[in-house]
Amino acid sequence: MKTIDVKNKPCPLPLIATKKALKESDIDEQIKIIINSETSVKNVTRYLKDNGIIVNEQIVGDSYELVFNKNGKEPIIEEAEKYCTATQPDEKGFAVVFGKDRVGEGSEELGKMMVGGMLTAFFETERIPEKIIFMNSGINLVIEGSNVLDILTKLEKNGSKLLVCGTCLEYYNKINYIKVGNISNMDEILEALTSYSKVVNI
Amino acid sequence: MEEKINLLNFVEQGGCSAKLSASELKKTLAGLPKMKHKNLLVDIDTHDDAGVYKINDDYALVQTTDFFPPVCSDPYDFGQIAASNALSDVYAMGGNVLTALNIVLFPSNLSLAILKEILRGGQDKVKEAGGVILGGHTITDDIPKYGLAVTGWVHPNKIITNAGAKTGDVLILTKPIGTGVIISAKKNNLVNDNNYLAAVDNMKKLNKRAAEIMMNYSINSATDITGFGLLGHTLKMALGSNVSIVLDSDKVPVLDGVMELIDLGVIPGAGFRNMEYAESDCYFSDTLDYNSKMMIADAQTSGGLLISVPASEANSLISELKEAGEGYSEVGKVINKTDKFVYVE
Repeated sequence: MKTIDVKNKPCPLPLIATKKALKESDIDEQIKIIINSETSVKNVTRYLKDNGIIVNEQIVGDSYELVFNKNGKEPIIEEAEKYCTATQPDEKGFAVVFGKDRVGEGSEELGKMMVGGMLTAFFETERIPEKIIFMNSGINLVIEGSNVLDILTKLEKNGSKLLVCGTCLEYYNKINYIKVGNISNMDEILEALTSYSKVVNI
Repeated sequence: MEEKINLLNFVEQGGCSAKLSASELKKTLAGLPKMKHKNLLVDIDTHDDAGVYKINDDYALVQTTDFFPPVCSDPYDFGQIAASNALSDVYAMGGNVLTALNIVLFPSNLSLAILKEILRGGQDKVKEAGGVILGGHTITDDIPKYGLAVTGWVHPNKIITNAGAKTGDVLILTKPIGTGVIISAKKNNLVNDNNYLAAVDNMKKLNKRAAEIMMNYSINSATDITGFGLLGHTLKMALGSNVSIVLDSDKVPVLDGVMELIDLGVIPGAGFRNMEYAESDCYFSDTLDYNSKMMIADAQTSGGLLISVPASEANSLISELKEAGEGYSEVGKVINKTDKFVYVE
C-alpha cells in the first residue's frame, strides 16, 4: 500500500499527486490518498471514476481516505483493526492528564514551578503527548496569566491535542480566558483516556 | 509604480474557482418569479451574455456586469483583463460599448497605489472599447475583486443572441482556450513565464475587432466563452437554438502548455463543475481522450467569441478575421437537433 497524504494541499495539487501515484505504481499496488478538502475529494473521485478506476472512500476522523489501484478491480482494504488509525492510536502514543495546576503534593510553589519543567522535558526529549487533558484547577495552565502558555503552544504545534474541560472552565468562570487548546467535553475526554494504553496523570 | 505585488497571493491558494455552479444557479433562479416587460428583448431565459432593452425602433440598450478576484499577478493586467471580460458580453450581442461603472472590492489595509493600477487597467480598456467610465462603487473586502457594469447599444433588428444557430452553420472560435488551467498552474508555480504571459495577453485582448468583423456577415448566433468553458457555452447555444452542435476537439485552439498541465493533473474544480453541468446533454466520442475532454470544459476568463455563421460565408469571415490578426479556428458545425445537444469528436 502506497499512502499519500495531501491534507491541506490546495486544489489541484491532490489531483496531481493522484495522477503521479497512479503513474508510478505497480499494476496491483493499492494506493491510499488522504484528503481533507471536500472539493478535492469530489474532483479526485470524479477523475478516477472517469478513468475506470474503482474507488473505496472512507471518512476517518476529519479526512477522507480514497483507496484504489489501476488494475480495474475492487481495491483491497486493509483490515479494520489496522485501518482505523484514528481511534486506535499507535502503541507508543500517550496522553497526559493535568487534574490540577501543579505537579505532585507538598509545596504548592514547587509544584507549580515543576509544571513548566516537565512540559519542557516532554518537548525536548521528543516525547510529544498525543493528547494533553486539563481538568479542575488544571485549566489554570491554559488560561490568561499561565506561565506555561509558550511551551503548551509549542507542544500543540508539534502534534499534541490540548483538550480543556469545558465544565471546569465554566465552574471557575474562565471560559473567556482560554489562551491555548480546545474546549472539550466529557465524552471526548473519556474517549481519549480510554483509547491510550499509556495515560500519565500529573 | 515601484511596489511589486502578486495579486494571486490574495486568492485561495489553488484553482477551485469561486463561481457558483450553473446547475445550482439554475435551480435557485427557477424559484424566483420572472420579470416581464414589453421592451425586454433578451433576458436570462436563454442564458445569454447580456440583457437587451428596447428604447425605440432604432435603439436598444445592452447591459451586463461581471467581476471577480485576481486571475493574474499584476494589478494593471488584472484591471485590463477584468474590463475586457466584462465588455465582451456587449460584443457577443453585436453591440457597441457606451458607458461603464467600476465595481471594486478592496482590502482596507492594502496600498491604494495598487487599486489605482487596477483602475488604470480598466480605464485603458474601456477607452480602447470607445466607451467612457462614469464612476463606480468601492467597498472594503479581504480579497480584492474588480469588474464593470457595462451599458452598450445595438439596433433592435441586429441583436446577436446565443439562440439563433441554424442547421448548416459553421462555428468559428476567435481565441485559444486554456486560461483556467494556466491561472491554476500559476497559483502553484507550475507554469513557465512565456506560457503564462501568453495567457495574460490572450485574456487582455478585447473582442471588439472580432465582433466588428462578424457584424459584416449574416451570422446567426454568437456568444463569448467564459466561465462555463467552451463546452458549457456551446451547450447553451445549442439549447437556446434548439439544434445540435458537433465540436471537433482536434481543431480547438489551445494555449501553449495547457495540454501538458492537464496531463499533469492541473484541472481546476470549475472544469469538473462544467463537465457535471453539461455531460447529460452531451455525447463524447469513444476516441476522445480524457485530457481533451477536460480541456474543452476548462473555465475561461475573457475568452473569445464563438460565432455561428452560414457555411457559405464562413470562408470570407475566416479570411477577414485572419487579415485583422484575430483568431479564426473552425471548431464545429450545427446539425438538426438529434438525441444530444452537443457531440464532441
